[in-house]
Amino acid sequence: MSIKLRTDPAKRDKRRKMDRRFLWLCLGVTSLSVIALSVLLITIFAQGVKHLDGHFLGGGPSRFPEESGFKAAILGSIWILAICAITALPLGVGTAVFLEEFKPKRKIEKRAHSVVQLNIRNLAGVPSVVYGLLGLTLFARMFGLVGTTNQYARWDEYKLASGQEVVGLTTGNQQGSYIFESDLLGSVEITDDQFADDSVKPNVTIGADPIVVEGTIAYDGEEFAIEANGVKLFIPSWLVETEAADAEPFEAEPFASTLARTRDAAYIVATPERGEVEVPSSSIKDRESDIDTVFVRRNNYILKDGRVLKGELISATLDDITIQTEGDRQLVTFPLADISSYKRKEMFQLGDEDWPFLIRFPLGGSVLTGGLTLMLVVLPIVIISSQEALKAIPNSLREAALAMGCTRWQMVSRVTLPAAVPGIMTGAILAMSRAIGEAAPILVIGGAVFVTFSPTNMMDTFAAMPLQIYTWTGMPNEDFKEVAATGIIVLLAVLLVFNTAAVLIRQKLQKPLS
Amino acid sequence: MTALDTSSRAAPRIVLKERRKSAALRKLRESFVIGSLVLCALFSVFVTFSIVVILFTETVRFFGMPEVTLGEFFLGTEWNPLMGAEKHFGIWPLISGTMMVAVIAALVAIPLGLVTAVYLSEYAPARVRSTLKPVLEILAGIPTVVYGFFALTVITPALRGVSSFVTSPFVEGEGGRSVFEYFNSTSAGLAVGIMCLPIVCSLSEDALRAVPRSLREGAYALGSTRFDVSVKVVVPAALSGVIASFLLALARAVGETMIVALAAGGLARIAYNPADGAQTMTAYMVQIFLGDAGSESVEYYSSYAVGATLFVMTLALTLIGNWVLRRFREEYE
Repeated sequence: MSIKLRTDPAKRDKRRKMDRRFLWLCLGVTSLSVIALSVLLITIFAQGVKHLDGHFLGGGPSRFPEESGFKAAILGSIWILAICAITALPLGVGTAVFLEEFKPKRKIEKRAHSVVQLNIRNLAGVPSVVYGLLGLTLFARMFGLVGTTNQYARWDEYKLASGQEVVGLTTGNQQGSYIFESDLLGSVEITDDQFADDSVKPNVTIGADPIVVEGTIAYDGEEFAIEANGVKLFIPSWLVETEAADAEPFEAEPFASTLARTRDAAYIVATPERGEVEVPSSSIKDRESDIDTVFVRRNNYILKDGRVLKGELISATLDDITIQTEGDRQLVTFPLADISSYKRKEMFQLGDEDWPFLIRFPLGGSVLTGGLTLMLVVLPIVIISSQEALKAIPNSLREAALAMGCTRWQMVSRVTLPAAVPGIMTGAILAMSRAIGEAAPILVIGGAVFVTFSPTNMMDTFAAMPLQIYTWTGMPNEDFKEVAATGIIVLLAVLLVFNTAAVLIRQKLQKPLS
Repeated sequence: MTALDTSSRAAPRIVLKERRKSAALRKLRESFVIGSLVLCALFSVFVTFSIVVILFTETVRFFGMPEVTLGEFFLGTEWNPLMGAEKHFGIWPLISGTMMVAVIAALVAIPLGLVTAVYLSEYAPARVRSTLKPVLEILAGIPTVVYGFFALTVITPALRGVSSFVTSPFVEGEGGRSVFEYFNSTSAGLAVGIMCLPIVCSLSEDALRAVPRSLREGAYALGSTRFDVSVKVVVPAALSGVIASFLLALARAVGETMIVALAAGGLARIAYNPADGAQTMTAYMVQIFLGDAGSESVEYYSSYAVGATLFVMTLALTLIGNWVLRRFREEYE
């Protein structure tokens, strides 16, 4: 039997022509992605190569594009990436091992297993900005259960002429009066004559001689940021008498002001009209009040009639106090005389400011929050890539191990996991390169936009490379776009190193297993 | 003789005892290890759970505020939380902005990604593949903030330049008129599209490559050209994977943040003109968290409501994508 195919030469030619046209379309479309990549890289290099030098890598942010540096952002990124890797890898690999090597046999367990698997797939599709919201609420604010970070301070205790004692935070002084913020009274103005005697007036005096500060200089339009002898210092421009160029000292006037709160080895003092200034404790000659307690303003007020009011202080006078209650958020005003006692919610702190592993709750916009949030972002990636690596191990290895009398865990720890290490490492490095480029979650948890210094402990604020690039790109001064491009070159170089490492590991360590 | 006997009998007994002891230890260690592995796996469930709980409770708190009504949020066409005397919280301007950018991105990523995938799996010689795959991997690995920079400094000026050039014969005076605003959704959409291209491409290519050779060979034997094989056999056979790749890429486009925050602008209005700026849901969240919205204010909590909407949209796309992948997968062999 023979089959005769009807071939229409005209139709055949048409089909062949179509085939050739489609090939050209393919080539055109495919080269588009190559063109897009080349244009992207070339334009970025063309814009950024100008600023790429030692100063850029070693300096801090500045008001001048040509003096801007990337050091704080690079170090900040390293900190958060380290925390991210330390937390994400054990969790991710552990999950992958459980899902791949301990597959359940019972029906109900199987269902739970597939729910976890589906859940991880869905987590991989959650936008990173949503992880930012999660990190903000879970780590940075801790649901507000343990107070808030931005309202802690040392506080001062003053005796007034009326015999009343007030405890709180001095936030400013004007001619003849002090603005005084107390956790019980709120923002109150106390005039000079209300103080019992001059000696208890809140006052911080900085050495009488002009201070000469030498260090890395950055300027954001209002403040000079200086790193001198390892101390972070912000000096408002009105204090600076002479500004010398790079690495040259400039002088600052001595000034008197009131203590607001402390940070690291520095005091943040509130100055009349000019806001808050950070002063290193070493440069303070004399200080009046120093009560070492941390407080937040979310209090429990127990009234004389037995009622308990919980809420955040809104305002107060020497007679009345207004709080916003927890829960229904009502504003309640009641006379100060009604209060029989009040209880502060104190902030929980582990360790000292000098200790790199200091932990303070809630975590706030700190390095630790940043690292943990990035961990959430990359965890599904680590899990899925580790699972792929484990799946690639041939079953014969497992069977051999079990036949030799290994338990499941012995099989995993001595056979499958070592064999999967190259694959897991490759996946982990790619996950880390995803983490290092993430800007959105860092931005949401409150990663700082203008940070001049690298973190020294886990509770420090930090800058990160992608966020710094975002900030530079969004600046009104067009010259900063070139600086952003330089930052991008550095970021891409880091990514290139990561990816090369991943490829090398894949090539060097991967032995054929079957 | 007898002494020797007892010793030779005693020896295995001691060994046995030791083995029993180590077996108990091993069992303990085993259950400890399994326990900690279960905890690891439960952590990812905990993450999902806390995302849902946090978004839900903070959104409920947002709707509990006097400035906000449920009806306005879901039906309102005005989103104006920061400026003006009266605050308006109608989500549609943000959704329309998001859709505008995502649709433009899809128009770029889906056709280009699919054609590239077909080329890679059906046409490309090994040499071309080995250069093209790394290019796509690099494109996939570039941080989104870099794409945002690219959109703002290259795509936007190019769009504006081209539109000025094209309109110059019709406009009096010199240089023509650019129809594109400085911040526009086209530029952001193109960048998001380039970002999504590798996702569409690699997922589709996986699906295309999973189609067994026998189907292709059958078609070639019947006299098909490569075009016929690709378009009439391979792509239909891998359709579920291809559609899933579209949906997953769309989910990425909807959730993309830094590109739109940089290039699409910050004005929330109903988006109908791709040459104008539009604020997306993600860009609004960036605006809130960069700005000075008080930590207990309505604006602050509105970002959770927007985040919840975004989460529901992307989750739906991901779920449908994974469902399509499983439900409509053609099993061969």
